[in-house]
Formats: sequence, structure tokens, C-alpha cells
Amino acid sequence: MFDYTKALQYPVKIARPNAKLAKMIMSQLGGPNGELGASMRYLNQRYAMPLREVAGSLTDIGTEELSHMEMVSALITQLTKGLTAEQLEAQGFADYYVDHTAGIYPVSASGVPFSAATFQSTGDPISDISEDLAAEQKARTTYDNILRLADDPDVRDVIRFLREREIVHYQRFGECLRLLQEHMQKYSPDPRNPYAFNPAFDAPPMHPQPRR
Amino acid sequence: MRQPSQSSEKMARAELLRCIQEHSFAMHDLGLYLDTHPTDARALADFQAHAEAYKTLTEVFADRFGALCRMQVRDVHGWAAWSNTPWPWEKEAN
Repeated sequence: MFDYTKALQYPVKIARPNAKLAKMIMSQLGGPNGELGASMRYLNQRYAMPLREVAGSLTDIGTEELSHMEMVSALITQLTKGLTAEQLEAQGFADYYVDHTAGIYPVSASGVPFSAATFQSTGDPISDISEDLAAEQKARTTYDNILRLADDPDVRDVIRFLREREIVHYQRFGECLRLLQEHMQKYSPDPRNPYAFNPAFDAPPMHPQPRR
Repeated sequence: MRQPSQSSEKMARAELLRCIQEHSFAMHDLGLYLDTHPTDARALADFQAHAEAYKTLTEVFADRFGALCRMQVRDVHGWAAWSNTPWPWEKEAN
């Protein structure tokens, strides 16, 4: 169950509207490496996770990504607030404005609507956690690319916070991968090959007894 | 008695909210660490200290500026404050 707290995870207080910047940052809401995809990836993957502590990591990180989605949306909404249609057009926002005015709709920087095809949930723990490690680095790359273009200090401060979180999540998922590999080493039907089974599918129950 | 000016009230609100966000963040980050290091008693003690501070400060905040979660709404005026004060994505809420 999720319960709402009426506060951002980290404050967003933008002094100067800038629709051009909003359009770039939009990718971290609805783009291929964005926060919406991140939260959906982890929150959907956790049902097939045989190790409960790893399911815990997916739940907690997936929940944090929802908070990041809210922060990115706060950035976009404050960066476009109070601008006229002419100003939005002059700042390169006309194509978005035509369909969505200054509302929030998850698209990439190039205008492609969010798609679940940007993430996977394979039902195979090693595949999923490996995907998650890559996803955190891809999000970090995108934030680095945004930082090269964003000169507003209010925006940069928030982007730096979000970028840092990708690095922490990468660290935690690395530990999840290690826990999974130790588990598979222990329970694999083939002692020479820890990958001989999918622990989410081939070896019920969830917490099997070690081989005698 | 002089009433605090609106701007100092606004600053006090922002300052208390920062404190709450710091404890909330520390709690969350320690929680992620504990997911993969569940037997680290020192991390758990830190988590609990931040959780305690978070609880105390959110109650102070609810009394002074309005609830941050619905559970802390005390009366009908409190509900109005919950739904009518700026939402977190508005600049004024930060």
C-alpha cells in the first residue's frame, strides 16, 4: 500500500521559468531512461523476486522513483509556469504546448510518449537486476547530459541530487546481484553452473532447503 | 503581542520542512542500505533516531502549518489546510 506525504523528497524552487530547459528535463519523466519507467520497472519486477530482501530493495527503490517522478514534474511545471503561448513558442515548446498546454504528460525530450517498451520485467531475477544496474547508469548519463546544458543554479541543484541517487541505487542493486548469485550458487541443481535454473520459476518453494 | 510577520512565518515553515525532509531522506537512504545489510545494528539505530525525529517534527509541523499526511489531520479546519495549502510541486510549498 502506498500513502502520500505532502512534501517533495528534495525541495524544488525555481526562480526563472525556462521552457527550453523544461523540454529537456521532460525526458526524465517520460523518456527511455526516465523516472516513470524506473518506478514501473522495479515495482513490476518485484513479484518474481525469490529473495525477499531483494524484493524489499525493489519496493523501496521503486517507491523512491515515484518521488523522483514528482520532483521532475515539479521542475517542469515551475519552469513553464506563467509563460504566454508566444513565450513558450519562442522557447521551443510549441509542439508540446499544442497537445498539452502547460500540463504534465510523460514524453521524451524528442516528444515520443512514454512506453512500457522502454523497460523489461523478465521474471528472471538475474536478468532483471542486471537490467536495473544498466538502467541506473542510463539515468545517470541522461542527468549528466542535462547538466552539460542547464545553467540555472536552481535546476542544477535538483538535477545533481537526482543524479546522485542513481549512483546510490546502482550500488544497492550491485549488492542485490551478489545476494542472488550467492543464493543460486547454493541451490543450483548443477554445482558447476549457478545459472542452471531460474530461481523464480524452476525451483519452488521460495526458500528451498540446501542440497544434502 | 506582536504577531510574527507573514514572511518570518513563511521562513519558519520552510526551515521546519527542510528539517523534516532531511530526516525523511536519511531514514529512506538508511532503509535502502538495511535492505541489503539487515544485520547492521548501528545503521538500524541511526534509522530509528531519524524516524523518531521525523515523527516529532511532523507533529509540530501539523500543529503549526497543517498536516503532511492525512493521519495527522486533527479537525475539519485541518482537513481544509491539508487540501487547500500549496501542493508540493508548487514553488510556494518549498
